[in-house]
Amino acid sequence: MASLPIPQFLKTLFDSFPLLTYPANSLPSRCPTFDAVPSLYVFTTSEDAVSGNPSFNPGCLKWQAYMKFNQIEFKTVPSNNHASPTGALPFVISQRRSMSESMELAVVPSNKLAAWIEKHGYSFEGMVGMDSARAEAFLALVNSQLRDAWLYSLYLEPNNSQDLASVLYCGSSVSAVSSFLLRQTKAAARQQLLQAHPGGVLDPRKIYADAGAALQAISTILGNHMWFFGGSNPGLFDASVFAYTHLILTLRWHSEENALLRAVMGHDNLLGHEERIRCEFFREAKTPNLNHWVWEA
Amino acid sequence: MLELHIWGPSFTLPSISPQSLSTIAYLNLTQPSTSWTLIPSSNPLLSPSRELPALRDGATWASGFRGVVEHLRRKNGSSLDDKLAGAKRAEALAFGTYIESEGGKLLDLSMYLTDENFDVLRGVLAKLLPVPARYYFPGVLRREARRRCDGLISASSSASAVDAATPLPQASAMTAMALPAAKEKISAKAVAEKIKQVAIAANFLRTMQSLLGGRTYFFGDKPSSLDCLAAGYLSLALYAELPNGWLREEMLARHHGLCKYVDGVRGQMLGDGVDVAAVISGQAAMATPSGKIAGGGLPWGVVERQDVPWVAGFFLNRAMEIVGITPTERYGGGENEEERTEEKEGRRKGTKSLQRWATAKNVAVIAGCISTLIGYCVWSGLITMEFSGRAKDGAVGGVGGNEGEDNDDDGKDAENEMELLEGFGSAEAILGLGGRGTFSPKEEDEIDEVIDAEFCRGVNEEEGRGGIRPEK
Repeated sequence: MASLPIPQFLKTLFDSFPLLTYPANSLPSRCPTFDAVPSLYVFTTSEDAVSGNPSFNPGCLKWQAYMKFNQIEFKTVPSNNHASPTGALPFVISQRRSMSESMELAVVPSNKLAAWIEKHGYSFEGMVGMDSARAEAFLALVNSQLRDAWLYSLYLEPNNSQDLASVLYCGSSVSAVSSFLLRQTKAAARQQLLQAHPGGVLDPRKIYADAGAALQAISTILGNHMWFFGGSNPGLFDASVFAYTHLILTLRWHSEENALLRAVMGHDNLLGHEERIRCEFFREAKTPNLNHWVWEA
Repeated sequence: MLELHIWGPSFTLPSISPQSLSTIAYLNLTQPSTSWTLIPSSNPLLSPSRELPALRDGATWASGFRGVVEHLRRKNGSSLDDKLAGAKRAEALAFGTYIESEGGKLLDLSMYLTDENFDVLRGVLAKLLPVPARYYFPGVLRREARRRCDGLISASSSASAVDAATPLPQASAMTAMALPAAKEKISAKAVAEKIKQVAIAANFLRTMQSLLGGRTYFFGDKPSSLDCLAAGYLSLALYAELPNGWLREEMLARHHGLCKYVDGVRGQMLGDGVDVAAVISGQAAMATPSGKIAGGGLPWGVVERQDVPWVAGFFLNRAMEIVGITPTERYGGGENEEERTEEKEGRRKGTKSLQRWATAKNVAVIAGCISTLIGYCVWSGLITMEFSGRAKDGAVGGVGGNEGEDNDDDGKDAENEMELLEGFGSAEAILGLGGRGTFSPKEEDEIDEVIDAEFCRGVNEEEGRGGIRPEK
């Protein structure tokens, strides 16, 4: 764009006010400090973040668990979607130098986490051939059927969404704001569910039946093994399953909307798998208070 | 008699949707061909869940591949997977889901989200649909495909994605020198996109290949439900002749085992070559010139073309979506009447009252906020109420001689405000119309005259001098 000539009077006016640049303000004290330990940004409460307890979001918990399996030292930071450069949690900020030396932050978004963990973690022997194919197929089962049922029971069951989802994800002191946020979240969950149901009709019985079949298949494939696919150490698939089973078992579902909990309770080996991981990697985590629920009906 | 409603035939295959193809394969393997008919209705609004494929068995509907399989298992007491051992059955479910999600995404990418291919597909779909839907539905299907592939690939595909992402160089820079560079950029991006697509395809195909190994079917020598899904999805990938056939080329070039498998099972599961035009026109039993049967050996039925209810249903649907009534609420729990026990009824009521309470609370909060804001504005003097307004204008009026000016300003709005002038004390004050109450009757008359004159002038100006002249 061609610049217009500046009128003389403006020029004299601006000349009489010399441009002064003040030194930059120091960062506020609540600003996060980046030390040698990478930080994992997840959905969690501030108390749980300090003690390293599991996140309440399955997507985040999966990676949190997987990083623990790989013996990566990290701290969890409570966050939300708006903080993430990609718009999705979790993400890792790994920084070996202090903020003042370099303004560059090494941000690892969730879709690059697997490669990053492989690079920085203690590496186990990877799965080969058939096992990796199977892991991929069963992962599809977790990410479609089980995830759909999770979304439905947490966000679209009326009581659960009011008592759980709104408290966990839409905590605002103003009720109008939080109910607006809840509305948005519910719409997003419905949107996700409609991907698998293009007709636009969500039938809860069908969704729960599919999830039940998926859990049955997952339980069958685990069998009596310690970890999935006969590995000597837990892997990414173990983390994915744990992320759902642990949260399904520990959340306080409304007693009439706990179909998913009942489905998980039916598989003893999945309960054992959840307990093994919880005891070994999340010592301070909430234990599922099963007595409270067990067949109260 | 079972009726299987599907998306219509295309590319010599009996259907254009992979789910429909898989369901056809399943019925073909499990049901004698006299007990079912295949109806290429292409109308998803037929079934209560508004999805195709949908199986009608008397008055009950089952939709989707899994729904149909489940319905037949309950009806006949047996299914294709019965002979599989526990672990194999788990694998059949897992790999089936894998095909549905990953394979489905691949087909979406190849058929709907590659621009050249979608242009062809639009024509194919148009042959299957009645008139208004034929212009609307391809777009809907594409939107759904894009939603499913969200995050897998940047935007739609090659060129259009580039247009959106990087603005073209400015007109001044559009010289002969700049053009080739821009073009190169576009083609480089297209190549990158293609490499990514092929990588996704190769990953999926490799996984399927490693499961199949060298066997005739995925689990030994008997077909299972997994074979039906594989046949449905892979045959569409292999036989759909599209202008940009990256998926097909990838299969043919590097995965001979899978191609051989699809070729092998096709005749048994999906019939051999279907003559699309003959089937759509309802002449599936006719022999083609080459001596084959047009329907490819499938029990085709006749579509009851009910275009009027179709279109009416479609518009009703759209209207309800716009108003905000989602189909879930209409169909949600109502399918099995016997399950509606009193307990559930009570629970529903409880839920409703819960929601009503939440809504009432919100309305109260919002109303409270607004009234507080207004209250604050009044209290702090941002909005002057009539007392101060009148006093000020009274003072102005009292000085005299200002009426003309006041009313000059108002003249522009006079047309609108004429009706308001009577008895709108505070509004007058806020709008600065001059305090009528403070003038003597004579002054008021004068003002009225001035206003009348102004009003007429405004009207005349607007009507292009053709209006009525004021009677003075």
